Amino acid sequence: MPSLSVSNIIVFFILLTFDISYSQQSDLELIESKNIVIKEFETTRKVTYLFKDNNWIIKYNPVSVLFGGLLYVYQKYISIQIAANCPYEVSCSAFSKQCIQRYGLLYGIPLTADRLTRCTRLASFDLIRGVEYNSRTNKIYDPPEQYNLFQK
Amino acid sequence: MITNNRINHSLYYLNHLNPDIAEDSINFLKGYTYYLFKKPDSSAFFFSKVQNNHLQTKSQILASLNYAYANELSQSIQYAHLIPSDTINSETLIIKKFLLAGNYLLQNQFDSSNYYLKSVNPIINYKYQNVYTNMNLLFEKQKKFKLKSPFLGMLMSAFVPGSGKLYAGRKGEAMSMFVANIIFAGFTLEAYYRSHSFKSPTLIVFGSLFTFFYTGNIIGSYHAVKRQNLSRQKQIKNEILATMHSATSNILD
Repeated sequence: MPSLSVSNIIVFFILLTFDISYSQQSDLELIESKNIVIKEFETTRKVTYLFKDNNWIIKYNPVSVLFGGLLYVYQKYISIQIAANCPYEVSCSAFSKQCIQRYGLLYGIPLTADRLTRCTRLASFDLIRGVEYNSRTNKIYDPPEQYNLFQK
Repeated sequence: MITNNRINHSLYYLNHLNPDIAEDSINFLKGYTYYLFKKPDSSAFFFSKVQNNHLQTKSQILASLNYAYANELSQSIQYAHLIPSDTINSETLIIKKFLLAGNYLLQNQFDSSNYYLKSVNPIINYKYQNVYTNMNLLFEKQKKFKLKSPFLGMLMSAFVPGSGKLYAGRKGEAMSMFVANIIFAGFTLEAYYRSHSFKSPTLIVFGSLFTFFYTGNIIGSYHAVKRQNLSRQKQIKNEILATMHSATSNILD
């Protein structure tokens, strides 16, 4: 019988907690709609490097390259594969990019961590009360602007 | 056109009518159209322009209500005070008192609100008994309402991850945050006890992740408490406005 290590328990909790959405379409429907879906996705979503407009020190230092690169790879290649369907109006990855651009890495990364824990099945208990919905997209309105510490 | 929901057409014709013929009626209809359009500021503006006409009392009531919806409470109170307090028409007097009680309640002036609320005698007119009960309940709710401290939320989260969110009333987010922090703390501790060195790459990676999530937990609790305060304030405000609205709905029949 395998021993119960901390790693095994933690991996079990990760699988239990974090939600990877999946499509509810049948295989045939997926194949039929594939071309249209990819075409729409590529035309509406332009993925850019996080520090594209900054000076070269910020643009190419290892920390920026690591965070910016990870976000770029996630948005460009991973989110499209796992059919990620974030319930928020500004999706988690876009929220992270905007927060880092607006507030910097020191405040932007903890805000991203907070958002990631709000985008789980467990946190969906609270999605009914006290949140603002966009009636057009049926998504939760949560822009980075409202996280300004100096705003009343 | 208004009754057939052709609001745009109605506004078009009202704007092209000669205002010298029946200015008050035109202003009243414009105010009513904007009221149906859910544009309280424009509606209040046109209702407040109605003068010396049999529509004046109705316009003053609706101007006061629309100013309250437009968040211009001092204007709303001013127009509510202008509503005639004749004892012949008891309905107008009751509406006036409800509007004033609601407005003062929105401004957190409990003594003034209580004064007008207590002076209403709902037994005179049975139609207003529900409004009277609701307004009294909202008065008690608003009086007991206390803002939660975002800094207390931060402090709680610093000791037990997620507890600040629990304090804000968000159980799911609290559980999620607690589990995430426990996971990364567990990884970090395991990495340390395996390597017994702070230079271990696993320790650096998971230690950093734990730091981000722990800091995010504290900052997130601050924002969660702030959001919850705003949301509850907005909810009570909307309930008060809806009660004021239901008090005035009888005059629109």
